[in-house]
Amino acid sequence: MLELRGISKTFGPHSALSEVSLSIAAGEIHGLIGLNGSGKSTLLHILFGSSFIHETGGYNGSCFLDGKPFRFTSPAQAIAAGIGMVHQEFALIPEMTVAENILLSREKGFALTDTLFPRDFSLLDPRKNDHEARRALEYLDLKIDPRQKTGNLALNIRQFIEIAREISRDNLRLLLLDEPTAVLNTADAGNFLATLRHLADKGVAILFTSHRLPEIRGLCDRLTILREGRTVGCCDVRTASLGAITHLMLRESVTKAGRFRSRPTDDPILTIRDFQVAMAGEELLGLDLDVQRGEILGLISLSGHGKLAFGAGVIGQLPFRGSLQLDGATNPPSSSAAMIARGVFFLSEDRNRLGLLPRHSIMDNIAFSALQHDNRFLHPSLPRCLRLPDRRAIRRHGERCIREFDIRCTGPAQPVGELSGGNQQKVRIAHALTLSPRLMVVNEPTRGVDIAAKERILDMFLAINDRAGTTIVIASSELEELRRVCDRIAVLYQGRLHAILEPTADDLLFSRAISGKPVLH
Amino acid sequence: MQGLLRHYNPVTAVFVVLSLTALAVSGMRPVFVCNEVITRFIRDGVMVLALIIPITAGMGLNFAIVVGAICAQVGLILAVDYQLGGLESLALIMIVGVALSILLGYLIGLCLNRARGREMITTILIGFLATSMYQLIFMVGYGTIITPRNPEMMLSRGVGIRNMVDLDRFRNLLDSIWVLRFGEIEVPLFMLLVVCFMALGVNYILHTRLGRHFSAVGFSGNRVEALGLDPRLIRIKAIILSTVIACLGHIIFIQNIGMLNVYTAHLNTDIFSCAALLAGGATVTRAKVRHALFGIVLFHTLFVVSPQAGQNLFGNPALGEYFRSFVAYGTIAVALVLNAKNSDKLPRGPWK
Amino acid sequence: MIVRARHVPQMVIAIFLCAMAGGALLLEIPLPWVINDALVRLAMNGVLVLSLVPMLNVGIGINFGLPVAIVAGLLGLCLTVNWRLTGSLGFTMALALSTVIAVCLGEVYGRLLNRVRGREEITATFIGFSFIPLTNFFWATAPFTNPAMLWPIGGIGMRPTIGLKSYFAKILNTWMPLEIGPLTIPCGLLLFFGLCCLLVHLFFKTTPGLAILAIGENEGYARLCGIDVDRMRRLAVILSTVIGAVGICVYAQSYGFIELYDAPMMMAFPAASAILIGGSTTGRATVAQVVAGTFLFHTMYVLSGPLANDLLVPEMAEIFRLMMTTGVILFAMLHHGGRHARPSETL
Repeated sequence: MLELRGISKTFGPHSALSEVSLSIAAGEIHGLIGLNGSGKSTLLHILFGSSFIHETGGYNGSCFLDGKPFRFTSPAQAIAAGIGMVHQEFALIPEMTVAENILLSREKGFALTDTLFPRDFSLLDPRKNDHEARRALEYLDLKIDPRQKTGNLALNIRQFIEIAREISRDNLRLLLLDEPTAVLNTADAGNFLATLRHLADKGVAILFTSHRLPEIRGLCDRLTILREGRTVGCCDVRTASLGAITHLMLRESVTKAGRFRSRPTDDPILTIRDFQVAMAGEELLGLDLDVQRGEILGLISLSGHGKLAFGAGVIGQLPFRGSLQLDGATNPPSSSAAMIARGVFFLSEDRNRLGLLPRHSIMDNIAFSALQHDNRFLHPSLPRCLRLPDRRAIRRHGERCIREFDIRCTGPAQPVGELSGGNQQKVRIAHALTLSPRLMVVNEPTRGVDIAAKERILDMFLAINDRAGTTIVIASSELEELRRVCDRIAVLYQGRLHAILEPTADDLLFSRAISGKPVLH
Repeated sequence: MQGLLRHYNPVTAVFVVLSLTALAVSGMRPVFVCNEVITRFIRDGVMVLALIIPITAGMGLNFAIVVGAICAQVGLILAVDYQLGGLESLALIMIVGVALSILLGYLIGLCLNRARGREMITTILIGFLATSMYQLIFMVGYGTIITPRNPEMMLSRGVGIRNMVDLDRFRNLLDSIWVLRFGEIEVPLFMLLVVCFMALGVNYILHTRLGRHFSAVGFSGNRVEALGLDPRLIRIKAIILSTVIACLGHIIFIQNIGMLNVYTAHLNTDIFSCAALLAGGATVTRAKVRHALFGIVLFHTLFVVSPQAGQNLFGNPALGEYFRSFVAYGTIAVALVLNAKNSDKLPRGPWK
Repeated sequence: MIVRARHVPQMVIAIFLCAMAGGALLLEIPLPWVINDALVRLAMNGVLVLSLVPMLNVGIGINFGLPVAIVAGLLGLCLTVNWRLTGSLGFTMALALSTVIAVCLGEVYGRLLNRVRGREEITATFIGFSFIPLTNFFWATAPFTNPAMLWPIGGIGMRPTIGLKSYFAKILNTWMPLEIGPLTIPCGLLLFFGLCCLLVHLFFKTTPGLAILAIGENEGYARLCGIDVDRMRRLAVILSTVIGAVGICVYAQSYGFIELYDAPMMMAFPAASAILIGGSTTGRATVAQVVAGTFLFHTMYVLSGPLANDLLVPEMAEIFRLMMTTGVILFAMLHHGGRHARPSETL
């Protein structure tokens, strides 16, 4: 019924999907599986005609529905064609009631005003709407009052409402589900999957993304595996083994030997206990972890399991609960300024929003924090209280960093906004190092970075660690990279520490740990 | 009681206290104040109602209702120019005004879609710009490019319309219908019903399909696109409706006064209407018809009595005047500052 | 395409200026007079325009609450006149008093603006608007004693315009005049304006200045880098207020009168328009843009008056100025909105 041929999508210089092909028959449940950032969501948004796809330059390749090509530029068109989507970040309006949400854009009016006035100006009939909503909820076996506000409901109920909204469309033919079970507990998930099965039996095609492998295996007919925007496999679920799928999902080739050094243990620079950070979509719910002085520690988890919240909590970007002991001081004042003064620096994963000053030059970016906090680069011949910086010293430092870290640019005065992602990342690391921190927390250092720069950045971490003894914590979803640079790798699951593994540990052990299975040492 | 507390709005509370105090200090006769307030309720009521729809659609206070007022004035000036009069031509004025407001409302909507997140300041500027264009046309264009048919309304130099145009053919055309008298209190019942009818109309719109879409856009902004709605189009519709209602409101206003201050009548309608709405308990993100109706009464009570109160308290009526404009501007400023804490609710993550 | 669209106001103004210059030649308006007037108006209004720079650079946007700063300056001026201080001592005293008052008002104003993130411009507009009737109250009742400032009858309440002739009117304008043929260049005034520009320019080279620029460019990043964003925003607001207060002092001495009551109400708009014509976006401004913008805007101002007078309708000049002023700001608003409408990132 649905066929995709050679779909490619780029966001600026960064390629999100390349040459993805896929076909789904009516009544089929098709699984789409891959790590965070592998392009699953992007693919669904392309099918659904989401406006940001269109605004970022559209996509290449062609889509066919029943043999007819289509290219939606707004979700309204997709909905009219019978495509429904359940969003990962909810598309429910919390201030509105359940019935209002379910029937939004398909509200029922009074017959009288429907005939008297244009459609838009017809008075809505709350009873008819309630009834419609109740019917949709009953289909999912959900007994809630459709007149309550959606914002007050529990998350799993909200997920069901979202699904109820989509399946109550009369013309639904293809349902796109973006991580629908992420917020459901096992019982709910079972119930939900049964509903999907029922729906598929009625001839609705379903495209389903998830990173819960067992679920996908239990439900789907066929499976497409994405890695870094490419289709790396498409198989019938019954014939493929769990191990093989995990292997395809994580990586293809065997990596080079990891760097493994035994370190003097039990001299922790940072100790956290019951560490909770309420980061939206990435909560930490009680992490206990010791970061040893001078080590490189990797943090890995699937998306949504809390690895990114660690840095944000430690630096004070987000408030935390629990205890934090830095160099023996318990719960020091938690603000970026105080933490930077104590020698901690954090590089956020959100390079576009929290990464750099894009219109400032490379040298100004590199010198920025050192100038603000350490009074470095101030003009030597002027009184300090004027706080005028020494442009020449800044330029010299910038030039040295450009040489040392191999930043590809036209010169230290080039605005960083013009650099490629990898080089921007190098500038950020150079900026952090100018402060000579003792502990650096880096989130997703290689996301959206080309291969050459990736190598260079990993080398930078090793060199810093070797030379200055800087402790580094890297939170990443790239297992391969973590294994190459880390001394230990902590696996998080559901906001808690699940296991600490050696980088040399077996692939299968890692995939078991990441998906929350018990790991035997 | 609990409900009362939940709906407690500091702005309204301050207004109630101020109005009562000023009423007591002014020593004005309640009957007189009552008459004045009824008149002003009719004059300004519809204008205030025009603000509700854009607030529901998440665009904040629409200061561009001035444009609607300008449309009404254009219709009236044309009627005077063609020397029309009577009820039929009042209907004609409405048609001209509404047609013009639909066109201009559409343009304003297009502008506001470009200025997401700073709609309010943009509407203020649109109001200013429209005012100067209007002045240009009627002060400079009339008599040079446009040939007037009615020389009486022109300035003696032959270019530009006089500051004051007499509307004796329209004066109190509507106000004199069904006037009831209770002792000294005069109640123009028909006009009261018109205002109430408009209030019901706005309330009706909020409960239609379109109204539901307005609040969806107001709550979730561009995210409703994922539900198959077109937020841009919905916002444009909200502004068009607001401009049209404002235009009708201003026609009522002018026929009640009976004179057209060509260059100044529309000024400050936006400020006073916004202040009245906020006084009634609305915020810049949430407004209901009852806020508008209650707000007009409160605001105009204060407005009527404050010069006299200033005279009695300080022996200087100018002070009451300053107090009045401070109240108008200050209400909006306070509402903006108070309402700042509508923190964006972050979606909660998986494991909670 | 984008570059061209961005410069529409400048192009319109330039064409407009050329047309007006042509008209001025036809009507034989003396050129030296025009240049002279344009220079005086540049320096006279320049400091007020300059006062918008810190708030633009910290990312708050255009300071539509300029009346707050102006009132601080007016208060300083009035106190000086009340104490009958004249000449350069009087002017210096006025500057000093204005600065002190502006720091206090700016602190409060800054705190208010920190509460209304994302809605600063509209809130600032109404803080400015509502501040005017509040100060009117003060002007009408303030216990000033110099009869030159008070209503001649009754002796209570300030006059709407107070002549500075016997105090420090034109003190900067007449300081070090340079006469070249028919031209009189007000060197002292220009020098003072230049000094203000230089100080602002230098401030944005110091570490606090750089922090302010960084906040304007990427607030989240600046906070992550340990910058106290709230404090820096307050500092920028205070600076804007102080410069604005100094600006009205310069304006008043050049104009020769202190204008009280409703006069400051709409002063923010021409200033905003001038800085936007200079080419700054609503996110970033430099001193050079201030100078260029003020010069263009006020040359237009100087030319439009006599031109409209010679045509049929004298009001036309005022209407046109207003249209230009609001049109330019509106264009910047819409254009800025369009350019920064970033597609949401969902991956």
